[in-house]
Amino acid sequence: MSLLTAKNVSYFYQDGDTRRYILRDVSYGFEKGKFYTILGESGSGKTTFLSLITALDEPKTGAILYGNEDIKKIGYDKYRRNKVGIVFQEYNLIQYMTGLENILVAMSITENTLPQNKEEVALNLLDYMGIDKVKAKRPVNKLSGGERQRVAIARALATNVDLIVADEPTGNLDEDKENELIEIFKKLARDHNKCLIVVTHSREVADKSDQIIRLKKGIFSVDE
Amino acid sequence: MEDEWFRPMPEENMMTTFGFRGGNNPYITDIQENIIRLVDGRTFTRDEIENDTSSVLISRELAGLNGLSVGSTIAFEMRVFENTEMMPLGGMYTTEVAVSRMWVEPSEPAEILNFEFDVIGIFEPTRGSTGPMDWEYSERQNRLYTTNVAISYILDSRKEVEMRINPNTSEEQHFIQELTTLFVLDDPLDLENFREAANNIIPSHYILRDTGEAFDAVAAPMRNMEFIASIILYVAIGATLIILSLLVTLFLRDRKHEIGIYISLGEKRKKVVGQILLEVMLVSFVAITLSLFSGNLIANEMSHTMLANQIRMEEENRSNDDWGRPMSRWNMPGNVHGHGEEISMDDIRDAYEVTLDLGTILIFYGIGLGTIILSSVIPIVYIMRLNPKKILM
Repeated sequence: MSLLTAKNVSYFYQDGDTRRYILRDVSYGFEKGKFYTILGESGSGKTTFLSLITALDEPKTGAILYGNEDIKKIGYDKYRRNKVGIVFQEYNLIQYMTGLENILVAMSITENTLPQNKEEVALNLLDYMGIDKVKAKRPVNKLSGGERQRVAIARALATNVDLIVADEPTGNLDEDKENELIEIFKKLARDHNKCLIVVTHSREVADKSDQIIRLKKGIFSVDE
Repeated sequence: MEDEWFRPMPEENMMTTFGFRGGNNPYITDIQENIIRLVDGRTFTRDEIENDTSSVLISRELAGLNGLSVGSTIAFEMRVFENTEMMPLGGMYTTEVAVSRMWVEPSEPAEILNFEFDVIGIFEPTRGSTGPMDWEYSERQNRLYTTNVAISYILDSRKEVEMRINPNTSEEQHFIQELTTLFVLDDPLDLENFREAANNIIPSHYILRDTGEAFDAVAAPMRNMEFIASIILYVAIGATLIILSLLVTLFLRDRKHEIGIYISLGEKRKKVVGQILLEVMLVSFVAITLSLFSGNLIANEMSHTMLANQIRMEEENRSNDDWGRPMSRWNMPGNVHGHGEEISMDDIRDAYEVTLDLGTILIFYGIGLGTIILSSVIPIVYIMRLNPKKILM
């Protein structure tokens, strides 16, 4: 059974009498334990699709289902709070806070059941991502791009969600860091049964995923 | 001693009087008000207040000039004249249901009443003389404190004689004596109610004045200032609304990215709004507290300066109308035959104080925090409409 399903999703801008489609009648199901990449050129609708499945925007037609429930019915804020972890290309961490504090903020917002010792869990998570205790307690603006991205992924995982969505997570990283990150994604999918959906324009990243979904002019095609 | 007049102080002042002041306060209000202090003997007992007609306290100077001490007996004559133009002046007038006698050249009285008093205490005024023209000082030196019962006794005695020797005089004319009754209210806020109630019952030939009238002379500019201050307050509130709205909006624009992150993490918008409001309110609370106390200090200083200027102008104006005499307590507005003398311009200056009571503080905080909440409305709407996708992606 799919964890997340796009059902006849369309997104367009109304320009007078004409509609300019960004996504056209997209339907697809994403399962747990798999690492998906959505591959497409700039302007293909990748980011729009990501914004729809993270409830940062809503489809003009169609629905996004989490399990069998429309995320609109769950409530967009609640869905983001409890069901999905988002990793942004620009990290979007709170700059004056430490990595640890950024994670604790996310843990304080979610309503999911979390262990009592949140700080310890957060530190372990950061350690798992390759961020030691010293770096964890540094303001994030003192960390490198790769380290910030790891903190961002740790934050997405910290709320104990099954679905992680990442927007061009390797866009600002060098090749070594990119490979390390991809390994982390694969481990999360295989070892922790998470559903990883990564939007990328990088063929190299896509090749290492379990499933590549091509997006061209708003239409999905799946590599078999 | 019965054959001579007691020598009033200062003797060269022909207008000086002996003044009797009665009361129903055993501790004597003037002592409590620190206008005089007891230097020998005692004040009245409760029993004397209710029944005694012959106990007095006299000033040390009067006692010294006349060889009197605690335990001495002094006698006064009251000369009652046939009804003439001088009648009101030849009689007695009262203060605090007290009587005193004007020092006039005696003609032949129709009848003489004699009253004897025992000296039970000696007092001295707390304020020294400012010179030979200090009428207030000599009035205090020549004042005798007794009980209301004694005053009533004197008045009744006089009334009886007056009605006998001037049978054709109306009831009202009989009592055109400069009678002044002083009521001391526990709470100045009761003044309006007291005034209303008293005006309904006082006889037609009496008038009711309050010593607060003395403040009216300087109150007009203060009222003007109050009016200007009210306008400034409204303008300030309006300006604060605009300026704070812009400031909070700018503050939020600076933190737009952070707010976007909170919303992308699923934080409830009302919680974000709550946090912003809390931060703004905390800073505002500190600012309001500082401004409240520093503003109070500044307002106090400014008010005193303004008041001092106003008093100086009043004094200059009055001196021109008063034979060039500097403004004394006698010609102060609100002086009621010796009773207004407790309020001088100095008293007004000293008494004027900008203070903070609980009500003022609460209103200040209420207006301040209310203005800040109103100022935050537009920025809050801005947060509620914030689209995290546009900020973060």
